[in-house]
Amino acid sequence: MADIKGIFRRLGVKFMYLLALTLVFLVPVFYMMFKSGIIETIGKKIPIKEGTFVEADGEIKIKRPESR
Amino acid sequence: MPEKTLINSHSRKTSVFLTALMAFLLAFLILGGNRDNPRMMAAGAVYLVFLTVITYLIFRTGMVGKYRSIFFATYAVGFSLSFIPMLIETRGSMFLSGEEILSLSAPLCHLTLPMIAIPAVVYGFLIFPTKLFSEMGFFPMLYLWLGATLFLGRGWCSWGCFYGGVDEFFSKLLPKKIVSSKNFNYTLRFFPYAFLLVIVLWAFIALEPVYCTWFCPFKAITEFIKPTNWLMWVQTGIFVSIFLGLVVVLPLLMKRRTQCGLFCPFGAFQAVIGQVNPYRVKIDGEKCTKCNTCVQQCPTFSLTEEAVSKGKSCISCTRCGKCMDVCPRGAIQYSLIGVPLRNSEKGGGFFGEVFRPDTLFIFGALLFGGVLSSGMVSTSLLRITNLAVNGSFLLK
Repeated sequence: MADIKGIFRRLGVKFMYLLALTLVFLVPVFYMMFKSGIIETIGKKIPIKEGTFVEADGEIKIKRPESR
Repeated sequence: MPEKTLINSHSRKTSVFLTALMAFLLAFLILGGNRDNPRMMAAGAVYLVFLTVITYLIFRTGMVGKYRSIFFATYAVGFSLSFIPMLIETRGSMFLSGEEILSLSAPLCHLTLPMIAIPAVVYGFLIFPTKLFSEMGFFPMLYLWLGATLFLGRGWCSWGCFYGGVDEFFSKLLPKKIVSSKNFNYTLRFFPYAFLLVIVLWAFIALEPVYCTWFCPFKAITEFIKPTNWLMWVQTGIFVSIFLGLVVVLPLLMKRRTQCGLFCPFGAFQAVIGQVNPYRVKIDGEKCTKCNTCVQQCPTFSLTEEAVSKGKSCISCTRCGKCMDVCPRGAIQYSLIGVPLRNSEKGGGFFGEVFRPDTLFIFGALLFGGVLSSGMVSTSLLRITNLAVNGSFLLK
C-alpha cells in the first residue's frame, strides 16, 4: 500500500513539473497567438455586445436593457 | 546569526544558459513584432539588453525581490511616460470626453474586468465604453487576463501589472521606513475582498463601472473625465486622494505596497481566481526560526505570524520574492503544489537547477512581464530621446 502511495506521489510530482514546464513553453505561444486573429475568431462566438451610451440630462449613461 | 543563504541563486553555468534562452525568446517576441519600425526596434533592443541583465542578476544572485523590483518600477515608469503623452497626442489632454464615451473609445484595463463580467453575462453587453476588439478593448484584455491568471496567478500583481510598479516605485524611494508597521492591524488586508464584493454588486445594480468612476487611483496617471459639476469634483477628489495616500505617501513612509495590499479589488479577485496557477510560496518549518523578518517586510502584507507557523504565505501573496531575499535562513521558497520543498540551496547540477520550481516560475514570469512591458518601455525610451533631441515628449 505504501509502495502504491509512493508511486502515485512520484507520478504527481512528475505531472506538476510537466505542467510547470508546459506553462513556460506556453508564454511565447500566448504572445504569438495574440496577433494571429484567434481573439476575434473566438470573441465573435461569444454573445457579448458593445454597450450603447446616450446623453441624458447632460450626463452620459449606458442605455439600460429592457430584456435579453 | 547564521550566514544568509539565498535559496533562488544558481550556478554561473545555469545562469548563463537561462539568460541566453531568455534573451533569445525576448528578441524573437519583442524585435520580431517591430520589424517594420526601425526606431521601435532600436528602443526594443535597448530594453532587451536591460531585461537580459536583470535575468542574469536574478538567477545568479537569487535576489529575486530586489532585481524584479527594478524591472517592475521601470515598467511602471515606462507605462506612465508612454501612456500620458499618447493621450495628449490623440486627444490633446488626459480628459476623457463625452464624445469618446459615445464612440466607445475609452481604453479598458484589467481592473474593470470583475465589474463588467456579471452585467456582460446577464445582459449580454459591456457597461464600459470600449470596443470589443480594439487594441485595448474587451476581448484582448480578457485574453491577457486569462494568460496572466494561468501563468502567474496573483503573481500578475508583481510581474505583469502596469499599475503595481507605481506604488512599488514609491516604496523603494526612501532608504528606511518612517512609519513602522509593528503594530499594524492585519485585519485590514481583508478590506480588498469586501471592497471587491461591494463594487461588483454596485456595478451590477447601477450598470456603471463604479470603481472607475469613483475610486480608481490610477486615473491620476492615465485618464479621467473633466469635472464639470460638484459630483464630478467629489469623484475627482476621492481618486486623487486615494492615489496620493495609498500609491505615493504610505508606500514612501511604510516601504510597503499599500494600494496593492490593502485596497486593490482586482488584486483580491486575482488572488482568488489565481489559485488555478500551480505555484505557491512556502516556508520550510525545519529551517524557519520564526524571526518574523519576512512578516515585517512583505510588501503586500501577505505574511503573518500565523501564516509563517502554517508554513505558507496568505492567498494575497504576489510572488514578489522579497521574503526570500530577506530570510536569513533561506527557509522560504517558490514551490509547486504537491511537490516537496527543496532541502538544499544547491539544486543538484545543471538540470537540477533548471528544473527547480523557482527557476520555472521566475523564467515564465519574467518572460511574460518582459514582453508585455516591452511596447510601453520602448515607446517611453523613444519619447525620452525625443525630449533630449527636440525638447518634447510628443512624437507627433
